[in-house]
Amino acid sequence: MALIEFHLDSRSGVPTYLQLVQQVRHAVQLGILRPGDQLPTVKEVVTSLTINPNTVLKAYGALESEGIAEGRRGQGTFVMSSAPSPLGDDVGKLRRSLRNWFGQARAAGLDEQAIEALLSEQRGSARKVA
Amino acid sequence: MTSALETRGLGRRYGSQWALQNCTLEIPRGTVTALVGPNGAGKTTLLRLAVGLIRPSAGSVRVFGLDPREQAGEALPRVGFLAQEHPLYSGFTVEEMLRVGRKLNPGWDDAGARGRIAALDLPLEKKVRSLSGGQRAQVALTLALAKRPELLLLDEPVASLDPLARREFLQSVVEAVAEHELSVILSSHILADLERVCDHLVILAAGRTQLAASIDEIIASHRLLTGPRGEAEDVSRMHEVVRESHAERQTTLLVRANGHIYDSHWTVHELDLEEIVLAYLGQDAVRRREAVAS
Amino acid sequence: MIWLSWRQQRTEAALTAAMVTLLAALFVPAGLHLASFYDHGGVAHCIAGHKNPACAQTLAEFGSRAGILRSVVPWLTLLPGMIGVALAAPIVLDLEAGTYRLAWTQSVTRGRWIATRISFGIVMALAAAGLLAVLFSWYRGPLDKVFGRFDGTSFDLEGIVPLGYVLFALGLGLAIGVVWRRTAPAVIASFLAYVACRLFVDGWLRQRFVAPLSATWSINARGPNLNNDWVLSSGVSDRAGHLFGGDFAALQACGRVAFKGAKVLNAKCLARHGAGYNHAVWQPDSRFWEFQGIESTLFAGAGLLLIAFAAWRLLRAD
Repeated sequence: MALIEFHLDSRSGVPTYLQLVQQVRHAVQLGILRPGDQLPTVKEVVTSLTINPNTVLKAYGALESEGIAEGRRGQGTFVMSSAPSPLGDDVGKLRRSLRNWFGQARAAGLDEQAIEALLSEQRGSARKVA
Repeated sequence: MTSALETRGLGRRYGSQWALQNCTLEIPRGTVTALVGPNGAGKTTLLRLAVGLIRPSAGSVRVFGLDPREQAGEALPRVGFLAQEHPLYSGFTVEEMLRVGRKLNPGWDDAGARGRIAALDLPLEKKVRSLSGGQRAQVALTLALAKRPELLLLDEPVASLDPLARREFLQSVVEAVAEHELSVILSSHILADLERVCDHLVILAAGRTQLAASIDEIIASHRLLTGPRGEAEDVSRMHEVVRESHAERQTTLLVRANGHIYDSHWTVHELDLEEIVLAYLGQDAVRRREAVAS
Repeated sequence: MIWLSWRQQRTEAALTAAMVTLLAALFVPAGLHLASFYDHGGVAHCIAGHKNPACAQTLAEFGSRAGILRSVVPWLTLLPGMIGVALAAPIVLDLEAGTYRLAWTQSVTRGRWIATRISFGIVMALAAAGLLAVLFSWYRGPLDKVFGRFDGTSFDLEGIVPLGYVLFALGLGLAIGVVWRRTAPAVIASFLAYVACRLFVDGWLRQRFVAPLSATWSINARGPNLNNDWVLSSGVSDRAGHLFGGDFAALQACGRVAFKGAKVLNAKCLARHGAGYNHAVWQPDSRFWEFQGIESTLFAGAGLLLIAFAAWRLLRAD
């Protein structure tokens, strides 16, 4: 049984392989995948999503160059010990403050699009700082 | 390494009508290629030429470097073919169809075939004529896969199937690709079926190849340019204009870019695959291509 | 490939076998009965020339012993045609249904598929026709000794011609089917073509294979014994052999005269009317196997040519 299951949003405009990369990254950050865990095999991903095997290979290749996972010949792809460690308790705190923030934003009368715009704007500047 | 499929100036004529003309393309091994085009574009003709069912009227076709007709003995075991109607002997049982495969293919993987049939819950004693469309398609696919081909040609394999059967069929195909290093060419006139599954694309229209490239490259190189109403000349000097349209105050160009687009005249947008394909299938693009060819 | 050829022709083979079995069940008992009557009922005696007054009746009785089956036999000449065309049908069906594309895209070359399926058809056809020929040659044995074997229905069902017929029918079915690719019309057209050709040969060509013998003899003389031969024409004629075409009533007037102690027809009078002789044209029984050979070669040769044509067309198809 695979440890995690991928899903695809075919309308998001994000290339399939990138979606897989992001989902692995998130799983590692949230502690769902730990160093040494095996990522789903190419065949498992291909069967569950009905996508081209090369796409999976591309995603796993990208994860390898980011240092999050490594492929071991004949065995599979595994999460590396040098992967960014999970956020742990911080995640819970961040989650709660986000929920508060959303509540405040809606109370202030912001609709979905306004919230999106605000998020994009701040995300961009946050990146520049980091 | 020899390509899975290579054609040079390939053409096929019926009477005075060319079903396929001047088709030159190369499909590398290990890819899953979508062969897209409207009905009558020449997709079936191309696939049948590739497996030796019909003879070229012009040009040549090679699979793994072999002539599928003259060297049929060597080529046939390496190429699997599934015709559009999913031909099976209607009076045979599923078991007997597997026997056909075993008797006619020295490289037949009987255990694999039976495993597939069992995994799909297909009853061995049932006659082909009492199977559903989706079940027939799976039996036909099992036959094509169990001979362990290196190249699999599927002619409109899911056109007659309901969405669930369609998904299950394609799932079987990509599983086989993952397991056995198989190259696949599948044709369809519906792009949506193929986008997830393919990494290469060949567009046929009016018997001609409009485009043949990897999907990554196609998405990376095609752009939509919008700008104030004007001429496309400057752009067309540097890049290939696929489609050109003019509104009263605005000109829109769909181009295949040859490098970066520097002209500040234009706003550059990215495109999704479907829009690109539709552009190539449009009348404008087809006419341009014919003009270039003659 | 052999298994597949068999499996795809299974129904036709079974039907053919059933039919041959049915015919055997009908004709073997009848044949045994005829043979025993021939030996023990005095027929053999009569034929051997031991004339005795009962012979006429014995022979007549013998003929009727053949029973109801006599009316069945003429239809049986259509059997080789039906068998040949039926054995071509599965291959044409493959072409019509497009399932040949399945067979031609496995690992077997087109040539091997064609050769195996056609060979299989030929073998089955010859086996069925051979069995029928043996059955009927045996059945007709006693009858042939009395009535000759050169007449229409007998010649068609005995010896080796059924083999030629079945090959011809198979060839027609394949040739027409490969070009037309629609099974039902092709089967009908092939069968009709078979019947037409058979009628042509039966009715016109066969008697001309070798120039027939002829004789003219006086009406009072004995003339040749043509019992077992194939008589093409016979009748009253003049001395030169031209058949009498006039009114027989006039000849009655010639009356009878005494001649060597018996009353015979007035020869001189008859001669004046353009009669007085008997003339016959026939193919002697001794030529039976010669004719069998010619007709078999004709049909088998045509059949094999048609089969070769069908094979060539398939090989070069598309």
